This record gives sequence, C-alpha cells and structure tokens, in this order.
Amino acid sequence: MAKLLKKLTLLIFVFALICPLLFAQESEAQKAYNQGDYLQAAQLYQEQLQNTSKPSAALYYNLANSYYKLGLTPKALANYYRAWRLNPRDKDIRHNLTFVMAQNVQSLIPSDVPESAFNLFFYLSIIELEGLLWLLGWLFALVLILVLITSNKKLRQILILTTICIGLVGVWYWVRLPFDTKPLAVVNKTKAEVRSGPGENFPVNLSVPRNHIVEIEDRKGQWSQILIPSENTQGWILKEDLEEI
Amino acid sequence: MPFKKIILFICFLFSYISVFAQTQVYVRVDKTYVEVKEEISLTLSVSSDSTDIKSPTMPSLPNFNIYSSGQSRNVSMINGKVSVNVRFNYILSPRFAGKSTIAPFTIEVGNKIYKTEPIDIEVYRAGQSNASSNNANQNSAYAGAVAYKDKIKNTNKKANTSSTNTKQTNTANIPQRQQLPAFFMTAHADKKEAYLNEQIDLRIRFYQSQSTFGNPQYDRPKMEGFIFEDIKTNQGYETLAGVKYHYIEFVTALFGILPGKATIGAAKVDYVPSNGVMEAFDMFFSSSSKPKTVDTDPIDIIIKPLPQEGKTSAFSGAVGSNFKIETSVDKPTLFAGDTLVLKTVISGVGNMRSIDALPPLDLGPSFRIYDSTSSSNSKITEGKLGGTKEFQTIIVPRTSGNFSIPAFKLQYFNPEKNAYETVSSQEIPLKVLPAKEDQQENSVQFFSQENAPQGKRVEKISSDIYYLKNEGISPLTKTLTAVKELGKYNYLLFVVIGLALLISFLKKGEIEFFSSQKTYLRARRKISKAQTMNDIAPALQEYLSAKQGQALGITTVAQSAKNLKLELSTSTLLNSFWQELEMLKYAPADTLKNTVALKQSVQKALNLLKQIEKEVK
Repeated sequence: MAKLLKKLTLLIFVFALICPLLFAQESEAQKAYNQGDYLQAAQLYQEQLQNTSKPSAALYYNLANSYYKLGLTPKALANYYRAWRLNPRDKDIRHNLTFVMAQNVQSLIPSDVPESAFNLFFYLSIIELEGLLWLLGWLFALVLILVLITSNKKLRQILILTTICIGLVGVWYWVRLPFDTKPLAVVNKTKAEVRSGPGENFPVNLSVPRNHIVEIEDRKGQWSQILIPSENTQGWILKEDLEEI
Repeated sequence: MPFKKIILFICFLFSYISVFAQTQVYVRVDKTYVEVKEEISLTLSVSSDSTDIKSPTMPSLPNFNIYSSGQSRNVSMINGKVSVNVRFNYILSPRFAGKSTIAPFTIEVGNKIYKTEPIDIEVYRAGQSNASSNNANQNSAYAGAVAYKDKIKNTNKKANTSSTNTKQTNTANIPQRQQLPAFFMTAHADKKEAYLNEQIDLRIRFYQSQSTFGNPQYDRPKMEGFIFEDIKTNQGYETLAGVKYHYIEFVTALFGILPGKATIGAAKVDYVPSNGVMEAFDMFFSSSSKPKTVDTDPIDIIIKPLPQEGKTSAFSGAVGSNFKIETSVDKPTLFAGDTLVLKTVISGVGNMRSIDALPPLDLGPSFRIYDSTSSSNSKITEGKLGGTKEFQTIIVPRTSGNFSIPAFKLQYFNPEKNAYETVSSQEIPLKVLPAKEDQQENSVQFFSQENAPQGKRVEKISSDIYYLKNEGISPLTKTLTAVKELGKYNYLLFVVIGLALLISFLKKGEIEFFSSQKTYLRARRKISKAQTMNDIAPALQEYLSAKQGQALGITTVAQSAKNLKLELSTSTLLNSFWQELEMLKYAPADTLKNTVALKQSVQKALNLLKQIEKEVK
C-alpha cells in the first residue's frame, strides 16, 4: 500500500511538472499574438504542431490566425481548412474560413447546395464519422449477442434499428470520404500560370489568382496537375506555387 | 572483297556522321536596348540530330518579368538523317532602368548539357533613348551557345544576301518578274490604316521551289506599337511564273496600341539551300551550301485614334463587333452580411485585353463593394480574335430589403460601322433578409432600413477574423475520437460478431441449453426459497412441464419419469417424492412449516432436480 502511494505521488508530481510547461508554451504563443508579434506566435504554434502526433483543430486555427495577421493568406487558408476538416461544427473556424474565402471570391458552400444540407453533411468530421461507425458496430455486436442469448423482442428491434443506423452512417461515411481525402491546395502566387503540360515548354492556358483553392489530381516532378472546380478546368502548375492542405 | 569495302565505307560514313553529329544551341533577343516595361522577345533555339531535348532551365532573372510564349518543334528526315529543331519562346519585360544581364540558359540535349552565353540588355526610362542606342536595336541581338561536350556549328553571322535572297514588297503581290528566285518572302497587312485596338491581319509567306537542309528558321518581325496574337499557320503549293512553289504562311492578328505610325519590322527566314546530290555531300565535306536569309521590308501602318463623337462614359475600351454583356449573381436571396458574387461576362469579337475594367457600380450605402477580379479567354473564330472577359465582384449587403443590381452598359467602337455601339445587361432583383442571429451576436449588427432606429445607427466599419481559440473538445468529439482511436482493436468487433454467429449456427441447441439452464436455475431458486412444503411441488411441476414442453397436471407429473426417460432409481425417487408432496397437502399447517422437515425436503428436491437435469441433458 505504501509503495502504491509512493508511485501515485510521484506520478502526480511529474504530471504537475509537465502540465504547466505545456500550457506555458500555449500561453507564450497567445501572448505573442496579443502583442502583435504574429511571426513569433506562428513559430510557436508551428512548433506545437510539430511536437504533437494528434494536432487539434484549435491549434490549426490559431496558427491560421497568426498567418492571416502576417498577410500569409494562402497558409492561413490552408490551416483554416485543416481546422475545419477536424471540427466542422466550430463556429469560429467556420467564420474565419468563410471570411478569408469570401475575400477571394470563393465560397465554402457550393452555390447549388442548400446551406442546411451542407451543414448536415459536414456535421461530423470524418474522424468522428469513423468513430460513430465503430461505436454502432460494437453496439450491434452487443445487441446481437444479447438477442442470441435471450431472444428478447425489444432487443431484436434494437438490433434492426442498429443495423439501419450502421447502413445510413456507412453510406454517409462512404460519400463523405472523398471530400476529406482528396488533396487540396491553395495557390500561393499572384496569377499563377497554369500550363497544358508539366513543363515550362507547354503553353500557359490560364492563370489562377492567389488564395484560390484547387484540387490536386496528379504530381510529376516539380509540377502538380490541378483541377479548378469553379471553372471545371485542368492544368499543370509548379508545386512551389501551391500550399497543400 | 568489294562487299567488305562497301561495309568499311558505310562504317566510315557512319563514324564520320557521328563525329560531326552536331547540336546547336543559341539564344536570341530581338533588341538589347529597351524602354522599361517594353517587351523583349527571346528565343532559345536548339537544332540537333538527337530527339531527346529537355526543357531548358531558365536562369534567375529578377530584373525581368518573364512570360513563356510557347514552343515550336520541327522534326525532319533529310537523306535518312533525323533533324530536330526546337524553339522556346519567351517574352521578357524589364522592370528597372539600367544595365541588366540575361544569364545563361542551360538545356540538356541527348544527355549533354549546353549553356548559352549571357546577353546584356540596356534598359532606359521613357524619353532617354539616343541615337547610338538605336543602332543597337537595328540588328537583332544574337548570342551563340557554348557547348561543353559537343561541337557547335556557329551560324551566328548575318547571312549573305546572295542572288537567291530577295527582299519583297509589303504587299501580297508576287513580284512580276520573268524569273522568280528559288526562295523569297512576302508580307501583307490587310489594312494600311486602322483604329486603335482594331484587328489588322498580317500574312507573311515564305516561298521555296527547292528543298533545304534542315528546316528553315522563321524569325517573327518586330512589331513595335502593336500587341499581337498568332492566328494560324497555313501551307500549300502555288505555281508562279510556271514554277511550282511550296509556301508556309504565318497569320498574325495585330492591334495598334498607340495612335500614330506603327511599324511591322522585317520578317526573316534562315535556310540552307540544297540543290542536288553534290550539295548533300558538301554538307559533310567542307560545305559549299552556306546558310542564307530572305526577309521582308517593314510595313508602316497608321493607327488612328478613336473618334470622340458618340463616345460616352460607358466606353470600355473595346473595339470590335458583336459585343455582349451578361451579369449573374450566385444567389438572388441572401442575409445581410452575407457575401454575394456578381459575375459579369463580356464577350465579342475583338481584343479582350483592351477591356480594363467594368463601369463603376453604385449600389448606395446599403452595400459594400470590393474590387473586382478578372480573367479573360481568347478564341479565334473565322480568323478573328475574340473571346470572353469575366469579372467577379464581391458585394456585401449591409441592410435588409428589396434591391436590384442595375443593368451594366457597355459601349464599344465598331470599326466596320465606324460608330460606337452600346449593349447592356439585365437588371438583377435582389432580396436581402435581416442578418442572421449569430451574425448579430458577433458584434456585427445590421439594421433593416425599415426598422432602423432613429438617431445614431450602428454601422459595420470593417470585418476581421475571430480571435484565438482554446483547446476545448466537445464530449461528442472526445467519445467518437476515442472509439476511432481504438484502431486495430476495433477489428475485434468482426471477430466477436463472427464468433457469436458461428456458435449459434454450429450449436443450434445452445440457445435451448441456455433456456433449459434458465428453467433449472429458476426451479432451484424457487425450491431454495420455499417457505412451506407446499411451495416445493409447484416449482417441481413447472420444471418438469418446461422440460417436456407441455403443461402437466398434478396427476400426470408422475408420468414424467417415463416421458423424460429417467433412470429407474431417479424415476422411483421422483415418484415417491411426488407422493410425499401430495400427502403433505393434507398435513396441518405446523407440519408444513416445520423447519427441519422443510430443510430436508428442500434438499431432497434439489438433489432430485440435479439428478433429473443431469439425465435429461
């Protein structure tokens, strides 16, 4: 018992030591942001990102805010988008993302999709959707076992309901997955040239404005093939002209 | 032996060819003395018998804005020899006055690296030009390449104008001579006078009645005072003075950008004539076929200013015909504070680049309008350059109400009719609803015009991003993320479901076993909790009924031993115990509650139950 108490005390001591350090770093970044030292804030948030295996939406959001204040809008946009993918229900993230997109003639919600449908479709993040699917799976297994043991009528109904839920969530997940896994990028060059092939020798077909979000379809050396959904046009652009999301 | 000699000769010939396998790389600019923001045309030419020509690596040119204007590639087979000619074209626009250097380009041809020589460019500000510098512009600048590993056949001398070189007039008419030269050029502009931004078609033809070594190299003329777009390239045959000529025609659309005289410079073609077998051998043995040049005379065009009569403030700068203007919005109804995208598309026949901006849009204080962004698209229809220009304007309504985006008027000059024409878009109705609650909460407050309080109004001055966030995760996110993060352990789910289904499938009776087990346990529980002797009999009766799958009466219980196929001893025990219980029904109440007797009977019943369960199973 005494040994256990000793271990517990040690654990609490170590935790107490580490915790303030963790929070101190965050407050340092926040402090830098509040003082208008956005570069320092961005560096600190970037460090936190590098030191964590599970970056949070808030961390991406704060980093994006720092980049935005620095005038690095493409980087800000990319990080807001990452934050939104992790937490699509967050109002602050949604506001800042749509705010920056609107400044660049873009809209998060496609014009032909009702806002309520969009909000419902993106109510859960893809991680949450996957978690929900597994949770329903476990519930199904549990109810199935109980039904096999007891043959209870109510449990049978619950089993049917769970199966329907799994089917619906499964379809939702399957439809959502491409939206969350397709590689996107933000154009980080003013009027970036888009060519018909992966090389300087191919003619420039169009130019894309800075901060425009594009889909990456292929990569070849220093070039990325992009799709501009708003124009339904494809082309090749230098990788260095893109900030990948 | 003659056969051996032939083989030896062929080997010798091939080795000779391989020794003289040549790659020429050179870079050329059309001028070395330019005004700031004037355009320099730079051409990197590669001629090689290797088809493996990579894209060139451009040097860092911080003093210039660079635009690629495409590439051309010609592959020809002459006397069984493959010859590739690639030209990479760039437009350079100097950014600063002073002396700048175009650093060497590098290019990989057939696994060998070639590097061009640097070119010095002198850039002056408007009005600084002097006579000496003009001389520099007279001849196009030309820089030979330095090949590291290969021989270079240097042709960077201006070719002699031999008897076969003939300058031609700037009309399409072929010189009326008794005998035309084997190679000559013509240049023809369809107009001598044109309005600002009016399309002028320039047709340059290169005629040849003899073959050439390699491909003739065409040098575009200098086109000062014009912007231009290549329309097409034609080729065909024409018989002139009884001689069949092959011609290549380059058609270019020009647009005058400044009133006054503008000049189309001399177009030039470099070629190496081939007259017969002997000259083909000359290629290998100290050639007598030297590179030659034909060119055209410059053409002067008068660019007239646009008339002032009929010109209004709606004039966009567009010159051409069939212009249209269309507007659309991404949503006809929106909330105050939301973003509206107004798309304006101008289309027509003419130079779209001349349309700089939209006419100003005034929607009053109820709207905030942001600067427009634009993109243009060129299209050639029946030899005329046209296309579309699209403007996107962000509009944010500040108040609710019914509004309309007024029609845009676009005036353009039609040179065919020598008059200004005006087209207009449709008016777009717009419904703005009061700002959403969440927008109001977030310190941005909009008031509808109708409901606006009298006196001081709250007005949105600007928008900004929201402040930093704390690391807060909702319980929903926490739970679902935790389940997701079980990772591979989640796959145990399938094992569990699989096992459950497998067991139920393989041992169908398992379910009945559970059910049977439940009956036994219930009977045991009831017997154990018996308060009187009379509580034991119903529990035993219920158990035996369940085991036989039918309700048993008091009289039929005794037959259970037979039905359940119990052993004789168990059967005897059951019957005697059942009789005992039957007898006890008539016993006085005290006897029934006798704890000692009750305990003994309970124990007896439990043992019996256990024995029956064992045998029935």
